[in-house]
Amino acid sequence: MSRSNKDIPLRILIIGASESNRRRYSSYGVKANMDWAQELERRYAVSGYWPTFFMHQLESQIYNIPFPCHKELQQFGKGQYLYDRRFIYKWKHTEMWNIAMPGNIARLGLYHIKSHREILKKFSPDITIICIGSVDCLENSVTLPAINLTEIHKVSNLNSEDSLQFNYCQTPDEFYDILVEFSEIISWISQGRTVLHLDVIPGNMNSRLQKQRFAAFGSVVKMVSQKFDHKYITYPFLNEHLEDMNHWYRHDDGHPTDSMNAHIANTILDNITISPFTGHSSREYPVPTINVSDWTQEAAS
Amino acid sequence: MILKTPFILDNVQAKCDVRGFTLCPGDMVMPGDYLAELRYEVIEEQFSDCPIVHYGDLVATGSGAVRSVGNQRCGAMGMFLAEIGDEEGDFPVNFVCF
Repeated sequence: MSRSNKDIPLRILIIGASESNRRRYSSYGVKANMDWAQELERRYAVSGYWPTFFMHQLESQIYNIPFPCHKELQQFGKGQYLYDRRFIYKWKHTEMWNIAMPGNIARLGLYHIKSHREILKKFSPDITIICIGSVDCLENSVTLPAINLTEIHKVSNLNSEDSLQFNYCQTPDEFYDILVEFSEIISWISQGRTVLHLDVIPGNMNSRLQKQRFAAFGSVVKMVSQKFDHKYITYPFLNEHLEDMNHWYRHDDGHPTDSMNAHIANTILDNITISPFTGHSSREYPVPTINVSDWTQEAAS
Repeated sequence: MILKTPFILDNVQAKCDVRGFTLCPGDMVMPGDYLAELRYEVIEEQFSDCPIVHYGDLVATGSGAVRSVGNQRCGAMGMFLAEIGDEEGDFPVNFVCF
């Protein structure tokens, strides 16, 4: 992987569910959010799920600096309640906007990118990574107050007292239709640059029918990614350590472990190539930024 | 014996949806019979940011004739599903996950 212009930061946009971001919505309130932030630090050795592994390794690969050691990764983001969707996070040579949300079913994800597509386009991502569909398989519909839908920007016709309901996709066909509409908007946002669709992440305890459901929704992800010439990423590593369910999934909440997070990041990295930077004259910051160097000790490179 | 939804999660409240349960009084249940698909959802919000949901197949490991069948298909763990055979105790089952 190489970039011809190392002075212009590489931009990553992440859209997904709680495998990608476990920061809770504003509507939970300050106390619940602070409690949850502490709980997340207790649960994870590396804060920030697969995106943290990914961004660090991306920086390393582009600039030939040593891979971050586990100690570095363990220190990263402590006390920061990663990742705040309202901010673009800046590393030395890469920038990430993580708008993934817990419980992000396809219709909610679609609404979110549709209502914010203008500022997402202004962010001008070089790489967009999407992980949508897993929560639909869990059959959970969601009702959200407006405040949670306007975290990153206000939405016209949505008032602060409103609440919107989003229903999960009950069938693969339904999911296909939503994901196609979703991908059209992503294509518009990403303007021909790299887009990756991550496969649904199967749960660790499935009935026979549920296994079929994950497989069917996964096929939809693959089909739609091919339709839009986006890249499809799945998880061959999940075929290892089958005898130990706790290797990949947390025993308490069924979410990916630190190990699965690292493997997801590695798998994505193995599957992307960056073409030489084609250049756009102005890079906007449609939302405020956070410099991760302000809270880490990074060696000068 | 009493067939009920298994307790698969410790120390949490969960609701269990029972799907595809079609036993009728008079039916004969044999070991290995698939009885239903179960969907468990943890209903304590502070524990997670995202719903904790588990699925599995309820499979008989004992045998007997179905005496009566309950009407409920959603409830807490341990919910009554059916009375099978005439012996005392719980009807033996496995909760099988893939």
